[in-house]
Amino acid sequence: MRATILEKFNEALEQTDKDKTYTDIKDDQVLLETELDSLGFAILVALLEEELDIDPFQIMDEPVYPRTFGEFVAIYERANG
Amino acid sequence: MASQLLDYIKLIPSDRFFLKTGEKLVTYKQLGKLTSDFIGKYSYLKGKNCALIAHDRFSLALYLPAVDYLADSVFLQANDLDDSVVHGFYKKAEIEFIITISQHNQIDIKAINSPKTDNSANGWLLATSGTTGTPKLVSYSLDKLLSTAQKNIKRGADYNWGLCYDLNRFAGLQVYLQVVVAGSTLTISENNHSIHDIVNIFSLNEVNAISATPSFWQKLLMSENSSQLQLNKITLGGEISTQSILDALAYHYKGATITHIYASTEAGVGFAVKDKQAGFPVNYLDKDNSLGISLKIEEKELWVKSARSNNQLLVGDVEVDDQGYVNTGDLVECIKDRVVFLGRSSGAINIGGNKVMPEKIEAVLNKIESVNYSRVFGKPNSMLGAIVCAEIVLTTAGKSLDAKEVKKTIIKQCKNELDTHEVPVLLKFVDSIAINSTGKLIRF
Repeated sequence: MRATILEKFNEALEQTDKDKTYTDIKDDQVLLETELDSLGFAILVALLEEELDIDPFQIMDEPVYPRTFGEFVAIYERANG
Repeated sequence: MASQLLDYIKLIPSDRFFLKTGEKLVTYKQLGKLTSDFIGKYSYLKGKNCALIAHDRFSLALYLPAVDYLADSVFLQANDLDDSVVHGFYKKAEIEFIITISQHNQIDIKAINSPKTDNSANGWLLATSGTTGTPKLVSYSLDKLLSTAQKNIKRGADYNWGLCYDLNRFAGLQVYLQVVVAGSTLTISENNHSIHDIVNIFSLNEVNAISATPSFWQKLLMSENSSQLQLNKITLGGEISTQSILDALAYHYKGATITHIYASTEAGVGFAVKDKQAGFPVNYLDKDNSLGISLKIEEKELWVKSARSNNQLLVGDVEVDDQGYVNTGDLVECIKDRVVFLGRSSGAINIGGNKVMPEKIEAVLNKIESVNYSRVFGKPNSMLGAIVCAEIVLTTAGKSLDAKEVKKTIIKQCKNELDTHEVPVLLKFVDSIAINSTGKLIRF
């Protein structure tokens, strides 16, 4: 899951014309401090939905948006569980 | 006699705070002094049509009551308008003076030559954001802008509103006016602030009320300092509010009233929904809905009629039926006891508040050598309302090429000709696309 998210994260960066590519993202990396902007996140969620067939933000058991990369991955792992 | 902002300001206890920023504090008393100084110094602006341009939100917030008092009509000119558009507006609104407030409140006033006739636009003039094409000039009377504002000065003392938008945009102006008529406080973030900075300024200044788009709220909730905010009043507008954002706000800001606003630019009206559920109750369609407006659904489109809906739209057309209902262009559907929004009948896609026309993107796609024709549509997205998707029928030559390479070429071409948010995120190659009997693409 983590690898898929990382791959799509980089794809979303590329689609929003950011030069940055991550080889790894630490769990405590604050999402809003990455190069990914609002559109980038929307793209990331869409790419992941295409890949995994889930959008965990459409129906959330606990309506909390992720603040760090670790939280983001955890939300997808739970939804995919 | 039309009312003026100064009439309201005079009623407010003068020791109350009017504006707060990261560094500055302004009381209503200081606002009163600054306003009367300006009125004394620039009395020749009395009864004139003025364009008002400010370097930042703070200075516009300070000088607006003075200019409103003097000028017959005020065009709140956004900084990012094209010169040609601006000149068209000056002519239309018969602007006589341009007031520019630059950094450190330097005031520059320039007379321009456009004498008034009797049929010029008057009142408050704003340019629509123009993301669907050329910006339109819309005029409002102050009374109409204030018709839904809470004017209770006693209760107004309890609210400190955080400003997230420019004051020369409808969303920002509404918050500003709400503050002024109730004697509340406005805490200002500037448009170069990051979301983290905005949240910091708001929490340091004890903001307890914010009005913003669902996309903005979602970004705010992703900011790790958003839990510092103690909010009592949350308003969402400008885009369709999804159940997930309403749930997330209710979860984070327990006890806050959460209101999502439906507003139609076409009809110049709106209404509020306070039950924290997406869409609106089906009984709003009843005659006696006590909203002050009537709603009906015709062919899946929402139509509204209102006593308040006679804003003068200076440029552009609206569709009105013989009963006086205005077509909002919003597609809706009744699901059980709820009316939910499906999108725009024009096919326009709302991407975090930016409206995108599919035809524009299709035109770019259809020019590409390997593309035979295409259909562009919005796919609902939990982060930004919607994202752009495209179905593409390739030419025979295109089909013989490597699909990945073709995708790359298409995206590259789109990036060259379109804004980033207009570039299709998901591309799907299909064998055919539905076309209706008049040869138009079927949009749904």
